[in-house]
Formats: sequence, structure tokens, C-alpha cells
Amino acid sequence: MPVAARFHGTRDRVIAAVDRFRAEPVKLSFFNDGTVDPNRAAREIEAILCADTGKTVMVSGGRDADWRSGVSSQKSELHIDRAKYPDLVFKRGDKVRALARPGQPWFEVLSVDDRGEPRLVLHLGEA
Amino acid sequence: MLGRTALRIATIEALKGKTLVGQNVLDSEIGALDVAADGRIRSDQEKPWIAVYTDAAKAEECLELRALYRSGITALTIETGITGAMTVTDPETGACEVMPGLRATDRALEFYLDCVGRQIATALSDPLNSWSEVWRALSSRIVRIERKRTSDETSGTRIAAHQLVVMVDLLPDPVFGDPIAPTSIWARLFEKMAAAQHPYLATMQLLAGSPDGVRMHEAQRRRFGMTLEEARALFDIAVQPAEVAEPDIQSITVERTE
Repeated sequence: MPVAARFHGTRDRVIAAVDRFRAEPVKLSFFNDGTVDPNRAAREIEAILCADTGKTVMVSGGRDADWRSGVSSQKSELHIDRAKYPDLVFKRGDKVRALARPGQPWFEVLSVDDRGEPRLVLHLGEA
Repeated sequence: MLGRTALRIATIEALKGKTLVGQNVLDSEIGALDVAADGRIRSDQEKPWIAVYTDAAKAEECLELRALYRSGITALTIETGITGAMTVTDPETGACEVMPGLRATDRALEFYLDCVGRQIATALSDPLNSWSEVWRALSSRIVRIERKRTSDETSGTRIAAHQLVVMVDLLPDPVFGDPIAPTSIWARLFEKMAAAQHPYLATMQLLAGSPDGVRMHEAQRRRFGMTLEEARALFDIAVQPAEVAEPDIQSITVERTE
């Protein structure tokens, strides 16, 4: 366990209070190279899911004008209270399902911010 | 230009149903492809796609006088793409497959696109596919082939795409009002379009022009963009007093005078 800093108690209370208003149920599905990871069982938690506005880009991500086709997609982020779920470990390729949203869409973990201080932040893409 | 449209139509019809993308072969798609959040209501249009475009063309050779009907070397661009959301998702676990038994990893997306690329080459060179035969007959040869790939995940989904640019020496457009020979590629194309009830057929035939009442020298002057003086100088037109009526030449007899 990491050493506690003096403000941690206050921080945990603030995050828990914010989560009470903003967190929604999500299902976590863990994968290892595309197949379900037997060592990390799927589970449901509550966390804050923020979906960005949809953006249209060329398939190249806009870096190369030679491409003709475009794709519209939304970046999203999942903000997880680390004090509430200290045992969660994510890898690129894991999936998140928004259980409270229309159609219960799946998201894919594109990268993980695990050095940030208050919360664990997952950068998600459409899946 | 009719040649460019014809090349796209033939490409699309030859590829439909012959690759892993099935019927999702798009013509000159401008708008972005969007995938519904709800996996259950996704349509065929939201699956991996092929998009066909005719791009830049350049004609530099064999341009007699003002031959505007020539197509020149034309870029036929065929893009194939797949995103992380265009895969088949297991509603329970969230596991995704690009095709049965193949998990949607990055390398599987790449393999999928290579498979489609291979199927495109196979379909367009298929001797038994009559649309591929039209495709082949619309150009005199392939001048250059370029393949490119790209991938991205910064915009909000994993995307991988391949681009095939085939530079073909595209046949010239039919000259307006010039009779279309029954053996020509245009007659075969229109016949196939009629059989497929293609919505562009009537407009394309209108643009090809009707040969009724068109005199030969008029079609000839259109073909090369000849001025009246040039046509006269080449005797490509009846001698001046008969110009308006164009004599109906039934036969030509050559007499030799030693």
C-alpha cells in the first residue's frame, strides 16, 4: 500500500460525494490479447463516464490529405474512485459497457492514466 | 465524364458480395461513416466498408487538336476500412471478432484488410464475372498501382484502412451523338445497367447523345474539337456547297489514269 498523505481523508470524502451524484453503473470486461482474461473476472462498478462530442475525421486521423473516407466517433473517459475500487487493474483492450445508457454501448480502453492522483482515468474509444 | 462514372459503376458492381464487406461497397462516399451505440440496431452500412472514388486524371498524349473526350490516365481509388466498433461484439463478454474465430486485435484488423485487398484483386480479374469484364474493358491497361495503409485511435475509435490507387489508361468517353457500335464497351455497359435497373442509365444515355439526325462529319468534328476551317482543310467534311446536306456516299470508285 502507498503511504497516505495528510489530505487523503478529505480527498476520499470529496470523491465519494461527487460520485454519489455523477457515477453510473458500468460493466467491466477484461481481455488479454483479444480473449477474455481468466485472471480478471468481469464485474460491475459505478464510475463517472464522460463522452465527448462526436468528431468526424478522415480514416488517417487527419494527418494525411490523401485519404477519402471519414469516420465519425466519440472519445470518452471513465473516471474511477481509487479509494472505492483499489484492486482494479486495467490494460489497453479491456472493455467497458455503459449499462445505464440507451443501447448499452461498449467502449474499449485505448489507454490508462494510472499515475494521476485522485482518480483512475481510462481513455475509451467506441467498440 | 461518362468513362469515370462507368469505371466506378463497374468496380462497385464487380466487388459487391465478392469480399468480406459483402454489399457495403460505397460510391464516392463524402460523409463520415458513423456507428450506432446500440450494437443490436447496426445496419450493413455500419460494418467494414469499401469506398470507390475516381480521382485525378491526366491526359498528355494522343491529344489530337482539341479532343476533350479523352479520359487519360485516371486514378481509381479504392479504400477499405474497419473500426473497432464495426466488429461483431458478444453482448455478454464484449469480445469482438472481425470474422468468425478471429479476435479483433490490431493485427487481426490489418489481416482483415489484406484479405479484402486480395479479394478485390481476385474479383476484378475474375474471368467469369461479367461486371469485372466490363471493368477490364473500360481501360486499355493499368499504368501504376499504389497501396497505402493508415491507422488511428486518437479520434475515439481504433481505425485501420487500406487504400489502393489503380492508375488506369481509361477509354475516352463516347462522342456525343456518334452511333454506339453494338460490340462496343458502351453498348455492353448500358445493356448490363439496364438488366440491373441502374438509376443512372437514362441520364448516361442522354449524355451519350442520340445518333438520330447527326451527320458523320459533325460527330467527327466533336471527336477532335475541330474548327470548321480545320475540317474543311482535312476534307473531313463535304465540299463547301454540300456541307449542309452531307452527300450520302454509297460507294467510292477509284479510277487510275496513267
